Amino acid sequence: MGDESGYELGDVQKTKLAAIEAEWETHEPPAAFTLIGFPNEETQTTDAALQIPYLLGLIATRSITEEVTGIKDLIVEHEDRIRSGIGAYGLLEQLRAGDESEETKAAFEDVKDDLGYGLLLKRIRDDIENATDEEIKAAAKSTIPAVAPMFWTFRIMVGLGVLMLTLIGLSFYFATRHTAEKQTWLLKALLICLPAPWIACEMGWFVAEFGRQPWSIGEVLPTALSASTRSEADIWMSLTGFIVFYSGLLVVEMYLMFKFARLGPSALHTGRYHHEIESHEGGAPLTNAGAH
Amino acid sequence: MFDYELLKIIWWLLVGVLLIGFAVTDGFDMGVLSLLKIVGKTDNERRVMLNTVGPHWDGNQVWFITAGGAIFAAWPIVYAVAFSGLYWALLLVLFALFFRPVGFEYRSKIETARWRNNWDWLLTAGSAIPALVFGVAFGNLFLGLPFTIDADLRSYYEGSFWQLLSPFAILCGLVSVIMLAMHGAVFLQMRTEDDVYLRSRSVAQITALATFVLFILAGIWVYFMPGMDIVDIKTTAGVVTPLQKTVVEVESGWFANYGKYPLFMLAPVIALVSLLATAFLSKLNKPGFAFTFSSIAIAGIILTAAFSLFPFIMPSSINPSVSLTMWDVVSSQKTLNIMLWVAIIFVPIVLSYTLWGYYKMWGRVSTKFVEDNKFGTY
Repeated sequence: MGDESGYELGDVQKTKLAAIEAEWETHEPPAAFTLIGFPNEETQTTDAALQIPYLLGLIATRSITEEVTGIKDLIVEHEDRIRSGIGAYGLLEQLRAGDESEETKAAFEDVKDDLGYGLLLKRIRDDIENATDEEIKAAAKSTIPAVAPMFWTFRIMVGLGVLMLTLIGLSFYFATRHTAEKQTWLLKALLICLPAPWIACEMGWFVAEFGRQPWSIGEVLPTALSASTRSEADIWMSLTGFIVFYSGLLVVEMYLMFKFARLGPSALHTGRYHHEIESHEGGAPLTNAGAH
Repeated sequence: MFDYELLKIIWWLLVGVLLIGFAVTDGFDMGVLSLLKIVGKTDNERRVMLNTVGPHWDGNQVWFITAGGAIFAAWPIVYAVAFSGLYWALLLVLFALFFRPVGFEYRSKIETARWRNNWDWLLTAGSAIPALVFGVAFGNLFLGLPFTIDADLRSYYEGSFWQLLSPFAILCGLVSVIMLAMHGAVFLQMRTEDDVYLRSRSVAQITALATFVLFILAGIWVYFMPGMDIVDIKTTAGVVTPLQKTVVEVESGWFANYGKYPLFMLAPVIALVSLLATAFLSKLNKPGFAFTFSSIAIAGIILTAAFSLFPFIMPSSINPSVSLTMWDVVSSQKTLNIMLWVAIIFVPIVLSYTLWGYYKMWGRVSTKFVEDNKFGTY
């Protein structure tokens, strides 16, 4: 599954892949995989990188001859598409204004795939056709999500996944030898790792959502344009409302959970649990058995 | 592939069907819970009421989610304008609805009067508030909502939550709350015995007659308010945005459709007749028939609103020409077509297992049943 996602990512979400892997440059194929390092946004390099040759090329392209495009080249590519997108937006305005000529339609068809890139400028200025070179460059740079958060969250997610698989493997091994309950170090590790799946999920969620910025719909609709026009205060108030409400529910839930955990299942009076079961052969009831 | 214009009409009808499905199914459990403190006088009686809707309320609520989902898919612009424009109203609905699942689960876990009383109030609020807000929202459609749309089709809402609470909108809110209380009372009459039965029987008659009067009042009010009409739209058959038409205000405009399409008159007439029939049959101790008629009455009332507004969905009070209509807010022809087939296949499947659920859980719930199973029921 990881292999499939990696290949898919290299195919359709080149930007996300480049950010996750802190691939600043397009290298000679096959690209090396950076196991760990410190991505530096300013110098556009990864300091103290520990790399495994060939691996990224294999994951992302399943070949040793295809390139994995680096961030710097992606920015150059996106700058071109933004310029083309400005043209697309202008043609769209003409169409909206009632120009129904075949030439305008054909010209728009040619560049309509870049319209979304043009719309990225809307975050900077409303009249995008007058955008300056600097603004276009800034918009192009904004097409790459911040690299360090992507790089780290992805590695935490994968690291936890490997850790959990290892623990499952060890538990399975000791369980088959019926000595699992004697491996106290393993039991402690499992207890400590209880939040691991949750943290891994959150990290994965972050990689997916932060990694597709600045897009709501990749290359079509920028997040800044798709967001609601509600005020920031509205969003803060509703978010606070949710936090307060759910915290209140958590208190009630925990109170009831502890209360009923202490009472045990026989508190339900279903007649099915310990202390209330009568033996099937019609023997003495087991009630009060615990008191002896 | 269906014709685009036909698909637009089909989806206008389908969204209506989903809203009616929501009001008829979730409506009765909202009604039952709104009446929790009125019909249920003792703890056991309230538990009886909770257990009549206990197995069904969450399934019913899925109609609401389905209607929201259908609006998202079929009318994305309506979804965007409504959900960000009516932000606080819908959050109020959401927060009120939160109390339903937890109320059902937590209420009977602890036996003190204070605990149960608090949850009773929260369950009542969790049903009555959404019913009220939905009615208020419908009322505001007739008045127009203060939104506009810019050239990039982004919507801007200029009003506040409190502005929604105008006298006419509150009247519509009352129609909604009392109509659903009627529906819930008739449902209780079908599913309970003794005191709860008798009390719900009187409540059903009062609320059916009250809905009758309030519905007529709202109708008269609408007659004296301005409506809207499209005087010029680029096309109804093809792709068109809400910016490509001109809308004017017309005196008594929301009644114009009944002159144009006399068959539309059936909706309010059937609604009014059904309300009387509900009250009458409830009095005659025929709750099954009464429930059928209260369902028809709800459908008639919702259709009356839809027919009056047609083809408008969300009129704008500050810029009428960008009002949202069923011609210009729809998804692409391909999307509507695919969704239609999905609906044709899955709606019958969902309906059949829902009906099976009702069939399995049918029968009257008595106070004795609740007492005998006090650890296993709601």
